[in-house]
Amino acid sequence: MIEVKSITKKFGSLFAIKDFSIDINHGEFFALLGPSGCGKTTLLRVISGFETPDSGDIFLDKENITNFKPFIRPTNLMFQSYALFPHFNVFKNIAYGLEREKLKKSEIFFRVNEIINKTNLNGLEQRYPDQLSGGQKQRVALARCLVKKPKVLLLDEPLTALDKNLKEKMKLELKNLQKQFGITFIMVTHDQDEALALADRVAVMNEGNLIQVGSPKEIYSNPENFFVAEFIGKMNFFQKSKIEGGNFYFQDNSFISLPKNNTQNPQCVGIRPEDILFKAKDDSSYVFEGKVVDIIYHGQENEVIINSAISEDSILIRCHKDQTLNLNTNITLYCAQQSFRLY
Amino acid sequence: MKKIYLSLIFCFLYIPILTLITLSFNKSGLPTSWGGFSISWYFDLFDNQKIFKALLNTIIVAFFSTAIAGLLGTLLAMGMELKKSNKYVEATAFIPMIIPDIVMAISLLSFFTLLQFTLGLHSIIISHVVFNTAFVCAVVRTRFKYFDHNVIEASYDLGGKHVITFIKITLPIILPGVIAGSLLAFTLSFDEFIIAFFTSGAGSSSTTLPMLIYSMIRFGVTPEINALSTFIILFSFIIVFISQRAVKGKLLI
Amino acid sequence: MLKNRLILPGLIWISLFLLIPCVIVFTYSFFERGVYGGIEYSFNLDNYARSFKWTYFKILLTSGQIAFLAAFISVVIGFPAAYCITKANPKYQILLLFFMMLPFWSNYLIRTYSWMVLLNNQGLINNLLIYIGLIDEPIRLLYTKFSVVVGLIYNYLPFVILSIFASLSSMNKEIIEASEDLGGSFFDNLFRVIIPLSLPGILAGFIFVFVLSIGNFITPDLLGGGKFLMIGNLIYDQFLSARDWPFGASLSLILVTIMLSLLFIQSLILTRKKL
Repeated sequence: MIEVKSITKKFGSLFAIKDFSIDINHGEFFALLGPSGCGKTTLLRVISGFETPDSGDIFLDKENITNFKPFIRPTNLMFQSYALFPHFNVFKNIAYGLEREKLKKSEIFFRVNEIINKTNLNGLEQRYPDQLSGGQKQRVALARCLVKKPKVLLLDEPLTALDKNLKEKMKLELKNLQKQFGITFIMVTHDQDEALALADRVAVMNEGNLIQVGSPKEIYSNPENFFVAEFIGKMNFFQKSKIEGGNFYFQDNSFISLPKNNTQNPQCVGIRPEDILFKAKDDSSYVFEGKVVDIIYHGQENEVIINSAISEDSILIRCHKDQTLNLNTNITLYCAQQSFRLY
Repeated sequence: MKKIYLSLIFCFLYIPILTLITLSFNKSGLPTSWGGFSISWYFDLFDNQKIFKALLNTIIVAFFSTAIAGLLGTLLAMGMELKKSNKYVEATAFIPMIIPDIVMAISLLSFFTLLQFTLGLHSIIISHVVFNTAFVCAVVRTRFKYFDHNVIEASYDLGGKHVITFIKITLPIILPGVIAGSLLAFTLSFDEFIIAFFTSGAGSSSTTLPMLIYSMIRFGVTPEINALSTFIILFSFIIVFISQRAVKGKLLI
Repeated sequence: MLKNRLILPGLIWISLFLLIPCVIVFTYSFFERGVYGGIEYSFNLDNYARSFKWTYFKILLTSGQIAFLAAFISVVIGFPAAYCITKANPKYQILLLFFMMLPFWSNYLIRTYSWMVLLNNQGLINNLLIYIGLIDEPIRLLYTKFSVVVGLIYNYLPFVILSIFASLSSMNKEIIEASEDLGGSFFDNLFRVIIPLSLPGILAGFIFVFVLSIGNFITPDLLGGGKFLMIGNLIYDQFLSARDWPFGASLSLILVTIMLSLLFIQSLILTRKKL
């Protein structure tokens, strides 16, 4: 539904986005994920019309909207600071967009009340923004956009300003609203938990480039390169000591065999903490020894830090609260060779 | 201890003013002897045609220069706050506030004379707009400190074009600043002496009240001036009270 | 977008009716007074040389002296006042500041005139002093440097108090507490901690009064008795009586240069402080 084709945007001599292309499907919850400065907010602003790209086009339902001004685009943006009009109450804030469409008063009244119900803002209609809590302000900002029934809703770091409990609540609300309205959501965030939890598909960005795009599962299980592997979730990396005869050697000269059709020259391998196990399984083809040096309690799932001869860095593994491990004990660890990814 | 010191300071600040107010009710009109309570000087004031003409002129000048400066200053403030302004714009908007009024007065006189521009109330108005614009701009800019710039983009996003956004969103939010700035400009123009003196030209038709007061003080003090002073003091206090209420938001929404 | 068009009207007006006139005056300063009071366009620096002659230079020095006294005394009086207000009940602080600023809003001429009433030989202060027996005859208070300084202080004190108050109230109270905790006496706290930290406000107040005083015309004219006490009076005279516009222009330029230098120094000091 949205086709971003080769968008480039510079600020001065700095490239915010470089030749960026992506397709977003109708009804999808799409996330743009990346560290600060990766260009995700710039891309959002290009799609919403507040920045004009230096080159490239944006198509919405096959229509070229690249040069459309924000007031005519069928997109709406939920600002990170919410940008509620301080001199209007909740009702007028939400009604503002509809008034600009020159609808009849009765229809405006109906639609605003409808959305107030759907976003749990009942009873707050007469309040002013400075009388609202953070969560309430956000719902007003959302309602203000949704009431216009846009084709695409753009969200700029919607959960960043909220405290932990509110964040969890809003995650559910956002997901529900998106399903309810069936509108395409494009969310920008630097928090991978948010992206993985909410989105149908995630695009990982860095320094203005698209690094990888896929479903949360794909991104997590198959990070294509070092950046994504490091950015998403936790990953243990092991530097090579040498590569010889089709094998990758660890620091203690143990090795795993590289795939037969391997053309890369990997500098390191990575493995997710949950793929390193205490008990052998059928496919546990790689075994190594280590010593427990620290246990970080989180309640149900704990993290354990292991030192081992196979690497100079500490290794992170996970353990369930029922599995007993003691500090400074030696331990044998098992993993499947397929769990290692080459970078 | 602190209370004593503050009281002394307040005495220092208010005794001169109170002296004038008291004198305006003194029948003898002299600071040396109290001749009894009287409001006769106020009646004399009302009979004085020159004063009324000067007052009218002053109001005209203040009104028009405030109106023009209010517009220019607000636009200037918006331009400076919504887009990054460079050093030259900042300097130009700042200079009128710090330049000595005598220098501004002679510069304007030289300029008008060079162009053989006839002088009168209009030349005073033009001159007053210069510093009033700078002050209005400064006051309105402070209002922008609390302004989330995103609300303007939010308005565009929701379908409001430029003019609508200005009228419905920007202006209401900065209005207290515009009002406070305009009241400040009005007061400054109303009280302004030296620039008016130099740019009013010959002839008494364009004499403003401050010019009249100056000549009264300098060349012929009559006790009417105490009554006039009292009026002006009270008038300016009223303006300040109105300005305070405006800024507090009583005029908002 | 249209941001540039927004600032244009204001900028054009100020440029046309202030900046260009100033440039004109600047150029005049290099010419000569014509025989009939017009301008003879022959470039020279005579006017500037003239301003350094003792008769005129003395006025420049006097202006500086008066401005300095006014600024210095304002700050010395104003600092304790601002300090007292910061220690007052927060509910009343704004009220105190409001009433402190109120006289500032009445007409400048009238405020200055009120001191003429107070200070003249038959005025209130002389009468009071005679009444309590301190003096037998009225002493000359008006039309002196003293009366001009008093007038200037009276006009600008509220601003100084406000400026110092702003600086003091934004100071972190814990720093003073730390000083006390480490054994500082009242005077230690004051001179070693509070004053240095509130220097921006004090400096701003001082320079504000100095700059406005040195270029002042009304106060030296009314309270100084029409003598050529300060530069403002001299410039006024050149343009109205002596009709020597080029000389008046050169004096104006000297005045503006002094002012700009002071403001420049102030900004330098403030940026240094931040480092």
